[in-house]
Amino acid sequence: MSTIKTATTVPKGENQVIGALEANGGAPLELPVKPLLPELVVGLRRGLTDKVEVGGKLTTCPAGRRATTAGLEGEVKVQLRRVPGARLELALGPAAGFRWISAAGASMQVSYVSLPFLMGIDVGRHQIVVAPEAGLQLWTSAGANEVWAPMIGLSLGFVWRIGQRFALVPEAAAYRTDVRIDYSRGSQMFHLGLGFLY
Amino acid sequence: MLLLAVAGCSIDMPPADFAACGPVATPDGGVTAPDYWHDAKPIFDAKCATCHVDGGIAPMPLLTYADARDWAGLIYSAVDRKLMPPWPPNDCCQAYQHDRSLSAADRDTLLRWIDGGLPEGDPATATPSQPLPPPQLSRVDVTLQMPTPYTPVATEETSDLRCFVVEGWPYDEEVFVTGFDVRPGNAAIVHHVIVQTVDASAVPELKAREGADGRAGFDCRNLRGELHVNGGVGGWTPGSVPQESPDATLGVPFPAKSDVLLQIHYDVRAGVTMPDQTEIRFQVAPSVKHRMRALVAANPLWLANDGLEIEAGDPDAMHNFAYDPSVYFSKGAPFFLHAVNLHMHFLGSHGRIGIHRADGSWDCLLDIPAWDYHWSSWYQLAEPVQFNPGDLLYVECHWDNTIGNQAPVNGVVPAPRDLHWATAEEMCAALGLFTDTWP
Repeated sequence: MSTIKTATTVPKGENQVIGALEANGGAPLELPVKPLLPELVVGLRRGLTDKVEVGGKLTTCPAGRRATTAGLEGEVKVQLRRVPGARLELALGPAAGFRWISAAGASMQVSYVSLPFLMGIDVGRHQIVVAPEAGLQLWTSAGANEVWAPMIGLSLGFVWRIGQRFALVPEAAAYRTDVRIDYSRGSQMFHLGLGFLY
Repeated sequence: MLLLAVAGCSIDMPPADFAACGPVATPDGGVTAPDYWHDAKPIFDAKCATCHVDGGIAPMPLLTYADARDWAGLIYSAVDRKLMPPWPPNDCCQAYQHDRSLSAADRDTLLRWIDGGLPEGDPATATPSQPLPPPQLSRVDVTLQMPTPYTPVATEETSDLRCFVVEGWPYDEEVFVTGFDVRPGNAAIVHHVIVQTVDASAVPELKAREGADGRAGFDCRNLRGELHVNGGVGGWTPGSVPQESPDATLGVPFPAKSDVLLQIHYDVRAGVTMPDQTEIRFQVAPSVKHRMRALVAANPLWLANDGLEIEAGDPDAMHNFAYDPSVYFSKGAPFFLHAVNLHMHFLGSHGRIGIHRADGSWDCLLDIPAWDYHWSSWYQLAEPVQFNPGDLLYVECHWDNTIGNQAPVNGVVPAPRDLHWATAEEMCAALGLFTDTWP
């Protein structure tokens, strides 16, 4: 699902470098311990107009045979509301991506689309980002049938501006899907991240 | 990225000669006129007497000349069609302990003995026989039984997964289970038994769950961490025989200050609701030379929604999976497999387990060409097989989901339906018992 969220598009013609150290995972609702997989993220966003930006991210978890991931994501952000002097900014940030996960010689692929509704509340130079999000994931693995996972969730982040261009973005998100694992009633997915913008 | 994605889209399958036999010697006729005492009795003793004894699971004993003579017609038919002794594995895959199968020469001897008019011969010429181990442990140190009988009920899934806390484990310190024998109280409905250990401090919480629905034990279909399981001792499926390592070479750790939790799946599709009171017998030792542990091979995605789909009417649905369990089970070090088990349910048709070596070669561990759920036993390898990091443990399951392969429910053959991973539907898993060291 989309990460390193802000509710503010990059100004027209400008680039923004993004990166993060993230931990992502999922598990049946009933499992008390939720395993998380650390991942590194780098990417670039560019303002096409003052209200539209496009971007892309690469993700990886180079943990050898225990777990290795490689991911690619494309994203668009459309500014819905930004009024000078007002503290509330709104944007839509559709994204689509693919992630390849290899563990102990086996592999799984996750293809996804997501649509976060980004609500930014400016606090001085900083911004609290609350983003309800809907998405759809497709899980595939050789020897298994495909599994579709519609998801809804909510993320909470804080864009902590340090200097003119740099910002840290701590972020947490939780999602719910109806995917049952054996006898579970559904599954949850989690995201914790510490991103940066430059 | 595309290359990475494509690389994950297929699993190498075993070559055509994965479990193929080499040149097989044709029986040369052996002795010209086999008789009971010299030729047939050693075969009956070695291959049939485990089950065909008074009180055994087989319907009649085959211990004497009179027994064999009276049932000769049935014996001929069963031996000729290779239905008996029941031994599902392909003979050319791997050598196992307690192999019940008949060699081509033994089969030829029995058939010619019957064809020849069942000559008894002279007891003085009897060939000493070496029967299989008796169907019980050589020594029982602990016997535990479900506290009260339980009568399963048919749920909407026509199965009943029930857990029972069985207190009374007599040891406070860690010991090792070197022998293990599950005695289902009602073999007609017990589908599987999993014997696990739980921390004794969690027992009051688990006991509080018992009886909540007015019946013994508690429904544990949706429970995971709430069960407080701290180890596994073993399991039973139909066809399983007692396992033991009487010289304490091998043993499964039973943690200190723990009790037993039984998880029993009752199959009530036939409408049978008789009570069950399963019993477990243990042989224990304070220490063992090699700690034995269990591993599993199954694609985690199979457990999710439609990840393991077996479409109605499909005569050969297939799913396979391969991975390197050393990454998770032995910290990336080599380990030694001692026993394997293939787990499917009623609609399985055939399946196999193997090792795809890092050098590209294959080793067959188990090949079941004609799956019979009622003989889904553990198979103890005659010699442990070393698994090296970088090798892949491979499992492949096939199902026949046509009308002709449906198991009756309450006496009625149901129409095929799409099936998925569930206790009451189907599963596919390779299970193994291994040690980190050997010999």
